[in-house]
Amino acid sequence: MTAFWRSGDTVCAVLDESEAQLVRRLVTDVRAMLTPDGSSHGVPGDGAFDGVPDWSQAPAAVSAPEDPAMARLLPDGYRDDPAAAAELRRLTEWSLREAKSQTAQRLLDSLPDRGGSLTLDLPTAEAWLGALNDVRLVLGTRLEVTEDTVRNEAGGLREGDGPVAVAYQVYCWLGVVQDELLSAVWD
Amino acid sequence: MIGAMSPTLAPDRVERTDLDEQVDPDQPWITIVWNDPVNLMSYVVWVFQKLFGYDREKATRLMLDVHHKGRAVVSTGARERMELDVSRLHAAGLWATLRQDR
Repeated sequence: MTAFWRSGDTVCAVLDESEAQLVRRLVTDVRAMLTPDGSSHGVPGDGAFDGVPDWSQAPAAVSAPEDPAMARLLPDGYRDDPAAAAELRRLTEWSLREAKSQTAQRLLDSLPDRGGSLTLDLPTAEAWLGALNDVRLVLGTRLEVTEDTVRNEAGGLREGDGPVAVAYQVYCWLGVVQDELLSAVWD
Repeated sequence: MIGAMSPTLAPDRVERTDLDEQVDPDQPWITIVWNDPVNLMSYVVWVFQKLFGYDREKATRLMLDVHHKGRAVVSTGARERMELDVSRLHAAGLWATLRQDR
């Protein structure tokens, strides 16, 4: 079971092999969604992507992504001014994608394939917080999580053992991991 | 733990703003963070502290405004500066927009 604690200027963590592999798959898939040649309709966990992103191939973005999960990762900067939102997106969306991708890569570079104990410097621990949060944003959007979902202990989301229930369990587990990691960063 | 794990409010609780009103060109711009059902309350507090240098008390108060009122103004200033703040908040996974104050 995952655990995090603070030791001086570092955060120590222990992950099972299966947990490390799950985190790697989820973060790798979200990173793939953000890269120029990645699928923008992927579901975290449905496949691996190990290519090196070519940011020079990035097209200019002018409107919010149609995929709700991508739109949540890359929101409009203006709520009621489409022209200003499009201009800001044109100027910033690809640097935002690149920043998120680099955050994800920093987590992946620090994650042992077989799990075990690891020591993260604070900037890397903070990259973990951001990368795990992006996975939770994608999963939460795909699962259509709402405040009521949480309050009612997920209702139908938690029933059965189908892919939706499993994805919701993963989503909840990531929330616990993120919160424990944050406590260690904050100590 | 339950409190720390609670998400901020769902987007459907957010009120619409009306930008048809005239705005004074001398008014400053504001960065608004909107509630969402995914981000942890603890994480939102940490992001406010990290990005804006706010102390825990102020960061917590802003997070609670987001949670209870649906949104909070987290920074004020020139338009370009607010666009930068919005981009930094988006990089951290928060849902933020800017507009001119009025």
